[in-house]
Amino acid sequence: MRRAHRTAHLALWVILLPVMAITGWAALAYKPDPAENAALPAALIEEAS
Amino acid sequence: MAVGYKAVIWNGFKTSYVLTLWAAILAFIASFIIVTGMTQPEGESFHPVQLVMRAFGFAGFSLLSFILIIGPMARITPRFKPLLYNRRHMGVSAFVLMLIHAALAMVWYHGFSDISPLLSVLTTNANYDRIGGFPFESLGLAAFLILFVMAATSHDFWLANLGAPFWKALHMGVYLAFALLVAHILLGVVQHEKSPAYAFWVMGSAALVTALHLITGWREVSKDRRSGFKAEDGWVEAGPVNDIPNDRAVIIPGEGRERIAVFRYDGQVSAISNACKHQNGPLGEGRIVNGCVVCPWHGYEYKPRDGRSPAPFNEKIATYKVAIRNGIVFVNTKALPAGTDVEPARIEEAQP
Repeated sequence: MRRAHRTAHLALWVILLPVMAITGWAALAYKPDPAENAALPAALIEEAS
Repeated sequence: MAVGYKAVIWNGFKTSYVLTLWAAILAFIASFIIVTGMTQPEGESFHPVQLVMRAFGFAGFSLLSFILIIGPMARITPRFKPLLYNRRHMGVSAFVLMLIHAALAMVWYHGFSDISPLLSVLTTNANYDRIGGFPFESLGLAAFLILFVMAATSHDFWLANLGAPFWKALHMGVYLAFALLVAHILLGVVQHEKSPAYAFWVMGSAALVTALHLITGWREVSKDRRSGFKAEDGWVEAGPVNDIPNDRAVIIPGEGRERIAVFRYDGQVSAISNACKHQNGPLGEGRIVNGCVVCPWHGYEYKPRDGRSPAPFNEKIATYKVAIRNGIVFVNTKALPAGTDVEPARIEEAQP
């Protein structure tokens, strides 16, 4: 590889590493609240089936 | 290197490579569907369409992760070099998997709306200002568009017409696409599923890919620094001639830290650019077969004394003047015009 290409490779990963790490932390730390209808009442499930 | 046009020049190795690849892909998809289907908590089972959609998505992401570790692993161990040869077949396969995933998602979640499915993807969830519930589909769409451009331009036709520097720069978009896919999965399935397996899979893949690129990238930069480029009148020492294995090369830094491959063959030494004309592959890590330097990435060939591909091909690279004094090889780091014939330095003359 040419020098410019080698340097660009390394620089890109130096930038992407913290971006992906922060996204991972944020995704796990700020999980959305479950939707209100996520759990159907048992009676409704029985009726539907 | 092409003479006469063939869309894909199939050979036995390439055919078995692609067949093995798709057998592995189908095995992954089947395993994913079986394991995920069997381990779903009571009352949270997927619809089969969702399961297949997710299986194709994870297969595409996993294949892309594997593709991205081939490059750095090939720098760590030569065992990975054969995988480089047809890496673009893997890339196009990963795109096909993601295309199926995207098509299923479009139809299943956005195909029954009054508005265009594409518009629906971008506007149904407008929570762009929050992490929890972020419209992760838009990240997947952005990655998909980048991968589409890359798959569409993967053929050597585009490499030849766009030129290697631009083509390589364009295809570095794969790293951005990978980061977007990581975010797509993290803010999508990882946020909405209870199982930690998805988080482990995506974060483990991202950590592995990133670590390997950083380690090998840093090694390359350190190698350049350690080499300590010192040219007197343009000549640098490349080391004892006996340290160069027959039909192999040592790689030394040239002007601007561009590398030079110094080959020993048939009792003589020649120096050429280390960057292959095709995709800048490291020629100095290749070897001489039938009188030609063979690029370890895709098999492009060059004659060591003039840097020209053998007829009927017409690629050519820079060459350098070489001399041997008291068993030590010296190289003039001023690159000669590509294809310039340079008399090799004879080893027997230097070491009677």
